[in-house]
Amino acid sequence: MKTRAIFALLCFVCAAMPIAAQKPMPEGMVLIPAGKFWMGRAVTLVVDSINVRARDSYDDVPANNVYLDAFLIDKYEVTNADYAKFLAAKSGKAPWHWPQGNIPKGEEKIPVYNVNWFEATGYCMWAGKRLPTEAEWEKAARGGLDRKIYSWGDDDIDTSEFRRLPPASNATKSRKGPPEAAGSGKVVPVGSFPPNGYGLYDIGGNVSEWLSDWYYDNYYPFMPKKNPRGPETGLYRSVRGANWASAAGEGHPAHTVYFRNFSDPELRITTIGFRCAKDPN
Amino acid sequence: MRKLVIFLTLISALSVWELKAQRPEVATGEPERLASEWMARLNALDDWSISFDKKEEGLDQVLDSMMELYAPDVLAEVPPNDKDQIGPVVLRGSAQLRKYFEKIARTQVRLDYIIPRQTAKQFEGIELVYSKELPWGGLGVSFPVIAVYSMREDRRRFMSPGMVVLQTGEDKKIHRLRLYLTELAEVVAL
Repeated sequence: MKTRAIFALLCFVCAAMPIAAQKPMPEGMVLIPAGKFWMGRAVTLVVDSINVRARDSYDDVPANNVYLDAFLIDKYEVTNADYAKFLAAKSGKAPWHWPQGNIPKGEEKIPVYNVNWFEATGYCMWAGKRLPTEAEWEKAARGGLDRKIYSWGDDDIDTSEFRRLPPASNATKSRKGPPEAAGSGKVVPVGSFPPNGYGLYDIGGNVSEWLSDWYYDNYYPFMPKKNPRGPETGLYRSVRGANWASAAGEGHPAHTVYFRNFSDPELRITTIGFRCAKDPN
Repeated sequence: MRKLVIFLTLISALSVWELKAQRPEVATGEPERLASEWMARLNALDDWSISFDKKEEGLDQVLDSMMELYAPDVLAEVPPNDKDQIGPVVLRGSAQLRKYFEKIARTQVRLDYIIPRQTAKQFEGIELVYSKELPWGGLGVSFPVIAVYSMREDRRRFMSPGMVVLQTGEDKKIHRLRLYLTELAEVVAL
């Protein structure tokens, strides 16, 4: 009987150990599993002599089968309320549109914008995190789907519908429609739109997002296939995701999950915010 | 009257001479020569070796020879030569293009790109090279190819039909390259 009791106790301890060893998932973050995914445009783009934008958009090919280690990424874009805590702790400079350096009334849950790349990086470091790489962002944005055009699949949507939505309201939650907030005409509270396959909200809309990589339009032909972190140097930082001002209409490239964008890292603009990422260990 | 005729003749001759001088100079047979040079230098990319003391011998030379044909600002659209890539590979500048050809040189052997020949009526075995003088100067040249090569690592042999499109500038260098290859098939014994 004693032996049995000892054996049972040992079994219990062994079973409990891995659970105890597991770190709790950081609040508000999602774990993206390690593995390969196709990064970039894997569909043919019909290019004609008129479509100048399409002709110049060869920065997203060839698609590369890229391996990424597991990483954590914020479920939501960083909000004004989050950013205010950072400013209080670090005595930083508030976004210029905040009246007297305070969050505009009722906009606590609006994603922060008018922050440049350095400020976004500073926030993530303060929070014990970092900006995602471009590859991490795209893998997260795809939500587990393979070689699809949008984060919800291949179906085109008419994003002009989202431009007519009432601003800063929760009305969108009840709307049927694709899980994206692109082209809504005005920035809305985070989480207003349904999540993608990994449970990330507003990944392809609301505000575009700063990333850690330098941008180089000809990076994909010779990019590393394991944990790519962008070129060594550059002029612009990568930016991903459509935003509230993205052109509406069916099939606009800004809403695709592989669409690449960039900006001067010093620039503070109303269409760019960010979310943070973190290594699991 | 006679003076007038001589004067008019002179004027006409001068005009014709000037017009001729304005046209971009394209030697007869230039498209065929360019196609042949391009193919020869591509097929020579595996003409290098590793010495007993593990030094690469001749690699730079075959790459230099290939890259002599291109302008520094060449824009190329080529197929991927990487199993982890899909879609067109767009390369900007000769440095990127050199890296692309270097990858071919390092990974492929027994390169045997050919221009298929066509026979029709009394014409036998004609290599079809299409060309056009470009309105902005230079030459546009295109020709069908059949790419045949083996992989260096396992000697598996592949074949793919395709098309090459080249555009040269007035400097006779290639400024645009398009290499399209389709339906890659492995060559196996029956």
